[in-house]
Amino acid sequence: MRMELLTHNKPSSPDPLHQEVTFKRPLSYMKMENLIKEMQDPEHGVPVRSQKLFLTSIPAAFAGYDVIEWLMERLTIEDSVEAIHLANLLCQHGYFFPVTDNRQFSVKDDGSLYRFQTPYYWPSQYPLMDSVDYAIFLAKRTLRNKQKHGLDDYELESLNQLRKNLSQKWDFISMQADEQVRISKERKKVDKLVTDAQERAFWRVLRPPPGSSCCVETPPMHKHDFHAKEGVKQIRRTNLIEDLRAEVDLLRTSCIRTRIKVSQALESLASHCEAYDEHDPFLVPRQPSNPWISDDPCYWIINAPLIEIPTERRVKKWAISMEDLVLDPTGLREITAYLKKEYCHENIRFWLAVRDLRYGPVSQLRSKAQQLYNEFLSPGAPCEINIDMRTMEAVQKELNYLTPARFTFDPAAEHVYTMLLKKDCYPRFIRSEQYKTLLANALQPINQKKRLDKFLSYLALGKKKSSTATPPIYPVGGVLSIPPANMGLGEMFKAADEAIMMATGNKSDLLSASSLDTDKLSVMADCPYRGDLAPDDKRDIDSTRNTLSQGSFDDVCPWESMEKLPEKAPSLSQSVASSSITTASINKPCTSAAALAAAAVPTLAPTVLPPPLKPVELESSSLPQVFSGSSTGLLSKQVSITSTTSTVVSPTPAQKQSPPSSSTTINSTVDNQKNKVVVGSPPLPPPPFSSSPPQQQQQQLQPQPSTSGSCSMEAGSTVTIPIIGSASNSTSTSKESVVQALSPAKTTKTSDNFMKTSEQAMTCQPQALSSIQPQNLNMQDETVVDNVPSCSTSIYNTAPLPPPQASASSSISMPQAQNQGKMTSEDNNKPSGEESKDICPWDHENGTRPESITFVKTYSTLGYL
Amino acid sequence: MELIKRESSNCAPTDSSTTTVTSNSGSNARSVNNVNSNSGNGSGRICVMSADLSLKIDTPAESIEALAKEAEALKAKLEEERQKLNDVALSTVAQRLDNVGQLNIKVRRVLKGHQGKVLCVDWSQDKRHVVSSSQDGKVIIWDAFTTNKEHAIAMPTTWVMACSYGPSGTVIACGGLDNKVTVYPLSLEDDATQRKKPVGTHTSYTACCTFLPYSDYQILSGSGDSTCALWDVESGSRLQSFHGHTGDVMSLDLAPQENGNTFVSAGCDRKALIWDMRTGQCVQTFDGHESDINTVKFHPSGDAIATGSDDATCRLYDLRADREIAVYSKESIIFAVNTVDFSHSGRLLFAGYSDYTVNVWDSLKCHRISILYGHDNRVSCLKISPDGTAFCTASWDSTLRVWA
Repeated sequence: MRMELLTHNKPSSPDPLHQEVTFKRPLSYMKMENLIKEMQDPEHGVPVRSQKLFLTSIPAAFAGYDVIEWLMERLTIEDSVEAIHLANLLCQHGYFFPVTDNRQFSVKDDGSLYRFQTPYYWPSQYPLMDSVDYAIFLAKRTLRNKQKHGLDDYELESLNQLRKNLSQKWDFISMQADEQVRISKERKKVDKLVTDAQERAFWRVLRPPPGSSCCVETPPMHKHDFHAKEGVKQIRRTNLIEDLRAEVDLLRTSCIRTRIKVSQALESLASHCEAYDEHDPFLVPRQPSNPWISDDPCYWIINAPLIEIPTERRVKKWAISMEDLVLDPTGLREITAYLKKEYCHENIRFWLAVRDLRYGPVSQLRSKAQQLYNEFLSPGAPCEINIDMRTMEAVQKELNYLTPARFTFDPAAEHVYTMLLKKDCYPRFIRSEQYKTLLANALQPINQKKRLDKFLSYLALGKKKSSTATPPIYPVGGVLSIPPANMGLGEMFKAADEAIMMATGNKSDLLSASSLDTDKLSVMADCPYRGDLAPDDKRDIDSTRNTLSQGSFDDVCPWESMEKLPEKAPSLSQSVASSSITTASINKPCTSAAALAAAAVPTLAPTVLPPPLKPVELESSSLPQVFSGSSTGLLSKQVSITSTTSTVVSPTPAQKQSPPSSSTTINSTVDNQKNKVVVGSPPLPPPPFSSSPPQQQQQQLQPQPSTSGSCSMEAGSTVTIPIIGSASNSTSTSKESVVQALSPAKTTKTSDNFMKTSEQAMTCQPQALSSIQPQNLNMQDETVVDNVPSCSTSIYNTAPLPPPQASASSSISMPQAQNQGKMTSEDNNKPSGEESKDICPWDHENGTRPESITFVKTYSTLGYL
Repeated sequence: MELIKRESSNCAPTDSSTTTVTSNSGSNARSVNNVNSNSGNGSGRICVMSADLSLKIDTPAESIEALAKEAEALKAKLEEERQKLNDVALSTVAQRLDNVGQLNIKVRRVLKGHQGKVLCVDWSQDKRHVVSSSQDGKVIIWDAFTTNKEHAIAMPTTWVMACSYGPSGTVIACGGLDNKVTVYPLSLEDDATQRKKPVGTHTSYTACCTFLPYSDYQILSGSGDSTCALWDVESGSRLQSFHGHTGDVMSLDLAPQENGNTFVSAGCDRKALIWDMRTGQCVQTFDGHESDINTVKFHPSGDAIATGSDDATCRLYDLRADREIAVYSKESIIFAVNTVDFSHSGRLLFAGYSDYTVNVWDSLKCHRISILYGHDNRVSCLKISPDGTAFCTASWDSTLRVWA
């Protein structure tokens, strides 16, 4: 049944109560009224009778438990709570009211007494009652016995108000009141009692005392109906025949629409639910915990939009569908990196560019469309995409004859998405080594819960120690030109739970503010402008060193450019802080551990900095022997380590420097922790290396825990370095494992566990942090392919990457590693730059530098923080 | 009874607007009324038009009557077609599935600060900020995790029924009885109200609005003027209008698919329409509700939509099967559904009711899993957080609650 239209009036009145309103009676009123009618049924309804309360007899009343019982039976309600709730609602809507207590409209499941309201006073009548009626009611009561009918304060107030507002009608009102009082005097006492109570209850519902809400209020939005008289509708009426024609057309097409069987549809819905079961926090608890329940934002940290090491669950989700992959910024980054390696990332770039065009501002439409066309579609375009002629023609036709519209490229984009990306690239990615590596390395927060806790508590401690480090964060936020949404920052700093809170606050805020855009931009930046990079590549080292920071901002992803900022003034504490913040906020850091570390960085920049150095010593002690055979890999690793610590990358002239090098540095702060990892990337003949070295390494590495532990103690920081060994030969999957531990003792345990879990993977003893896969860095690979910068070693070292042919994960890194190896020896003398001297990585490799030096450096670093 | 009312009110304005033809249109309108009474639902204004058109324009061979008749025939045929493939009920398919275990959903945060009814809430992509709008014209941005208020914006109107967080998290949009869609960039420095940017104007209240994904540059809004519109934020121009509803649009939702250029809207004409954003054409319609639809939401799979209505039911419609596939109702539920949302898997359907409760439905087995009590007045809006870890409810009791 359609709601009845009870009164008409102007629709734009904001206050539904104090103006006459067009009132559509909600359907629920009808249902309630039907229910009440049933309740009042003499045979099957709620038993109503005169009830005795002490000595007084109360007419026409029923007991609370009766109504509850009746409701439960009638509506087959199993839980009495629900029935009580419903009874309360009925009461609040004024269908019945408590006899004794006229203050509260609530129903108790006991012998308390209630009385039905007369239908005249049901809520459906409310719109017919106006202020005049209320005034009469109030006036009437003033004329009667003060004790029984005295007005409450709020009623007195509204009476005075009404007297003012309705002054011209007041004669009528008082006359009415007199009349009604007179009539009521003639009534029987019992009747009088009941009607008085009913009237009073009615007004209490409609005009509740201040503080309590009026539940019968209707929102103004329901005032409009089909019949509204507004101008629009009039205008639209002239189109009616077109509307009708459209409706018929729509019906026609819907008649011939291809449908699937309901069973099929249901089956697919069911299987969808099953597939995503695991990813539904309401069905499967989150690990380590749901932040809302535990107040521990850790889950968010390890699941930040862009993160180096995603959780296992997240990686698994990517395999469900292409959408799951590309909607996740990290997933998008991974597949972009992968496709880049396969030399076919123009597809995803094109698709992203089209998406950007479609949802971007209209003002940029033309320029973007042109750019897009030149880049991807025009004959001989730098990244021409492969689409069939028909689609191509369709697009070109649109381009030629129309001004570019938001959807001009959609056919092409759809083709690319469904035909190329979804049916080809995506399945390949899921089968690729890269994906397997990701999965193998993925974070499993369950195991790390404890450690994370510890880590967090450590962070809290650290924050106290290094409170000085915090202030810079804020300004830095500005430096990074993070969009203004981060209103959380300020308050968050103050807010308790300090370090953690803050870290997350920053992170989430910054990320939220910039992540989507950044992410997209980055991908974009990295796509259509490939050419731009070329000139940079050719820069020679010296200039690069300077320009590392400033130059090539535009060329690289935003986060990269952000990361470069710190380098501008490596010696300034601020810059350090900023660098750390970038790490924290921008995603490089990732993985629970890494993320935490990163998060920690802002707060404890000084304390966190040391870790980078530790790996160096560790390696120097134990690794050289291990890798004597295949030192190249190691060397390169160490290069990266040092590069991170020193933040100065010294590229060799032989290898023309490229901008990305700079960007890696920050990464490396995180990365280096991982650098321990020895990517078993033997130069060219992989097989010999494959089986035995891992074991060797394991053995060799095992002792490390203690060392590192002690080292870390010395360093004065509990944060230790996660070291992950991953060995792979060209054919086997390399496994990188993430383990965290805070104390040496733990470390051994974890490493033990680890070895069990990862078959061939060498687990180097890990410490608090975890491995990182600098995928985003990989994006740059292609651009830099020709001239691999020394710093890019870090890229290659840190993660075994699938080579272009998707063969061995690390094969690509090998040549570079080799190069690096050679380089490094040369470089030993070379890096004469600033601080880098002291910590020069290559020195360690050669074992010439004792650990102590590293530490010294650490402290000096700390010093100027 | 009902029909007569509608017709009379329909004719009334026409008569006044086309005074010159009033005398003639009487008979004409009456004849059409007959057609109209056959066609029933939603075609109430036909009579008016025929009155106008037959007199002003030389109505083409394709007369209103013929069209209306054809529409009726097609509707019947459509129903038949739909019925043909209706081979099994959802509950039978769902039998093989395990029951959802005991849910332990509780209120985890209470956000207090609004002075009036809270009408709408939306999550930021950062998973912890929410924006809420209220009857008293205030829009508040909260850090729901800490329950701190971070911004408050006073709108020059009451009943701010729509608010939406931009994907970047740096901007919000809202609208209400001012008939507008207004964008406020959020900033730490100056007052957001100073930087407000009017984007679009409807001819009636703005009932809902949402940013398009990936950018802050486009907003989709639905209004009491029975249209939806796509706006370009920068220029404030209307990129696309969506005509087709015959009552107020109350709610809309974007399709979750990657290349989905569709969205769904629903409103007081008891219909849910699927739109093609590119062409502005309606591509699919669903009906079945007995009263105004207050809310509509895409299933996470993008293959189905859930609606909630004043008739106290939620319904699930499948786009590919092109029909209603489930009704979520109970005899003991008699109050309107104001808002629905799915859990991330689509298995749970959360529905906020006018009876102050949130009911959790098993969307596949079609039974209620639990009732959540907490609010003291109707639940006006419910949104699941972007990562699915919690949902936030807004209520007329002037509070917001985060449940997990």
